[in-house]
Amino acid sequence: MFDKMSDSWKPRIENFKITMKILLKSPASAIGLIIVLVYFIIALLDQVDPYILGITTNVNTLIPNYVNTAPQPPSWLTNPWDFSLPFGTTYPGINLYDGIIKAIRIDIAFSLFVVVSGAIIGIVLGVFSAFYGGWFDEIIMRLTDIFFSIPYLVLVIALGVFLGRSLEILSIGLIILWWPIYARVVRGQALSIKEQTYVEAARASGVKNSRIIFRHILPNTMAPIFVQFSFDLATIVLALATLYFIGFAPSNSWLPELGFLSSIGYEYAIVGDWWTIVFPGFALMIFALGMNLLGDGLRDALDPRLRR
Amino acid sequence: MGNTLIVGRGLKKFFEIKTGLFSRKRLNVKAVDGVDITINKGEVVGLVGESGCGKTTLGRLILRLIEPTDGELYYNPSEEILEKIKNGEKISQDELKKYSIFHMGKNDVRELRRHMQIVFQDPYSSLDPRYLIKDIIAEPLRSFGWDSKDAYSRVEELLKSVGLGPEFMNKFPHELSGGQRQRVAIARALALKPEFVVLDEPTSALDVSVQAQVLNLLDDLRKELDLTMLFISHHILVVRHIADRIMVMYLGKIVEIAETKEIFKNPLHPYTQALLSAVPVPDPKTKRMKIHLEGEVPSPVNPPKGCSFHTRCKFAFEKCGWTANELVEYLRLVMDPTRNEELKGNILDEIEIVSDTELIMRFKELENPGNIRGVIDKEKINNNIRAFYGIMGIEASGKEVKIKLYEPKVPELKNVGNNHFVACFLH
Ligand SMILES: Nc1ncnc2c1ncn2[C@@H]1O[C@H](COP(=O)(O)OP(=O)(O)OP(=O)(O)O)[C@@H](O)[C@H]1O
Ligand code: SF4
Ligand SMILES: [Mg+2]
Repeated sequence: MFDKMSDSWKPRIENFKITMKILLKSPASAIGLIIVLVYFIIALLDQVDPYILGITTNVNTLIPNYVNTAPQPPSWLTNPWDFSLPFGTTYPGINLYDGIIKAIRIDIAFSLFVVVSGAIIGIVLGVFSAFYGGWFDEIIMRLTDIFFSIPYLVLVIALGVFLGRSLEILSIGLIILWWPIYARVVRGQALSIKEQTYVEAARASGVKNSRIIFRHILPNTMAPIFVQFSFDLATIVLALATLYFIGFAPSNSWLPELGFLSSIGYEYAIVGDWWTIVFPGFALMIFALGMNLLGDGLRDALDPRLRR
Repeated sequence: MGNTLIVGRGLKKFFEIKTGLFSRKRLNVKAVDGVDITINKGEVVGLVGESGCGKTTLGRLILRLIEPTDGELYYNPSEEILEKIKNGEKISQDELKKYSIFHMGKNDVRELRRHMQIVFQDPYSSLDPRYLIKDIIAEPLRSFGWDSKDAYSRVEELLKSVGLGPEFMNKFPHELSGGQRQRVAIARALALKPEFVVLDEPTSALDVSVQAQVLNLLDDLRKELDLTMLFISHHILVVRHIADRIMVMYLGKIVEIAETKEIFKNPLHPYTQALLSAVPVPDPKTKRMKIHLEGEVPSPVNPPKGCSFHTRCKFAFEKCGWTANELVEYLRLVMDPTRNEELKGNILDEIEIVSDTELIMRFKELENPGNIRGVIDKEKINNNIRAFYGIMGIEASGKEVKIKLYEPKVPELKNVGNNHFVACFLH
């Protein structure tokens, strides 16, 4: 019996290997994959045990040091072997290494939450929309039209003004805005998959609609979803950073967040303390770059025309 | 229990299509346009006809994989129902709900899937690319409640019976050749031990060398499992050995039905004769064999009036359903005095189509009205312009010549003896 199990996994593993092979063939997507892996590992380690990363405080806030608030340059600038402050500090005495590592975890978690929730809502609505058509489809599509026409910053700010500026409200605002793209992508795919003969063959085999939708149509629409997903993980991190940067942050916060750190650093960077913006800024940029390179690579690797 | 497994009456399927991107006008593709079909237990019926004539649509209709536009279809009808159908008696709504596949509830139709199965035309699109072969074949079993262990051992059995080893269980469809895929599709169709199987051109997408193997396999399975089949093919020779009876289809209608031997010995419909004399030629695009008949297949959106084959029929005559618009171009051509000297002095101005059966030629000058009839008859014979057979009368008055045509009538399927049915005015 055990043998049988491993037998049916073999071809699936084979398939995964092919995906990886195509993905790694392009240096750009290989770099993207490595960047993304590094960020996720950092976030994971910080979650599991921050001491591994040399972080001694286990709290979800930035820790100011009011004794010495002025930004201090990275320690290795004065002594090449001193890594006690690898990224220096920013106002008010915040250890940037500490802050950035925590911020990476928080940003990724926030982004994952928003994108996964949006994707699930969008995928389910999109696939039902395509399968059943009619008035349901019509309503969903008009809704997506409406959401597409609202600039996300405007809606999030409006929500913040009326409902209060907390991280929860921010995430709800972004989810409301992010499901329509998934509904559209899945619907488009599902409309063509639904006409495939294998769907008709399933019906001829007596398979019920729910199983046809979730076991035949949905899995075959997933490739462009993965691509969209990786782009959006970056976009949401950037969106959150933008909101913090323009000062529309949840009001109470010393939350570790890359946009917030950059916005603090901004004032000091223009008077010469470059590290206050370069390190958080680069951490943000490289993450977005990595996600986008990976997304592009996935688009090729999952394209059925390029797989044999 | 009677001997009749499937009875369909007045089957119709029209597909609605939009004409243009912005146009609101809808047109109907008359894919199946009034078909009666009867299939007896244990019989293999061949359904042949050119590409696009509605064979697949008819097959899907019989399994109710698409919703019918009209008609009734009975699976395993009782003697009582058969009697009523035969005598043209009205069948009550309650009886329809109970016995007609087109009126049954969703669950009853699903229950029938145990007994009626289909093998699709294209084995490259009929297998879900994300499923392992064993799960593809097990799917009908699972959906009728088999557990995995039993299902997989049945799958192994089925693979063996279609000539594939157990090593295929854990492969994906893309690892298989076309012939192997079609064997998998056959195994899936046979999984639930159905009584009736529609085979929709099961070999037309395969290489020529593999076609014979798959055909032989089907022939063996049929004998072994005592299957009733509807075997669809665009090539009549493919079904010759397997079919007991052959139905010939043209533009959504059945034009001839007879036993296989009879139809090869004594083909009556001109279309059947054309199919029989056509030699398959390789299609350079698909590298498969295709039959090619003279003339173009008319559009099923707007099929020709009368006998829909009359635009291509070598024997078409008066009654075959010619309409005024089919004559216009020919008339313009032959009314030219430089082509036919007899018409010197006649200068044609315009031709107006009054109705399907009437048109008027208006002349600027008309000096020789008396010669028009003669010229038309001469051209009809010499140049084989069959459309001119449709002319019933010619009347000249002033500078106008009125041409009347025969009323188009549709030929009915008629029994000419020997259970040989044909829809053609010649018989
Ligand atoms: N879903 C559909 N929507 C619109 N038109 C359709 C649809 N399915 C089939 N048709 C049209 O109906 C007609 C009959 O199609 P069908 O597939 O039944 O022909 P066929 O005899 O099986 O041809 P082939 O040998 O090419 O398989 C064709 O003109 C086709 O274009
Ligand atoms: S009725 Fe017979 S002869 Fe006339 S067009 Fe049709 S097939 Fe030809
Ligand atoms: Mg077909």
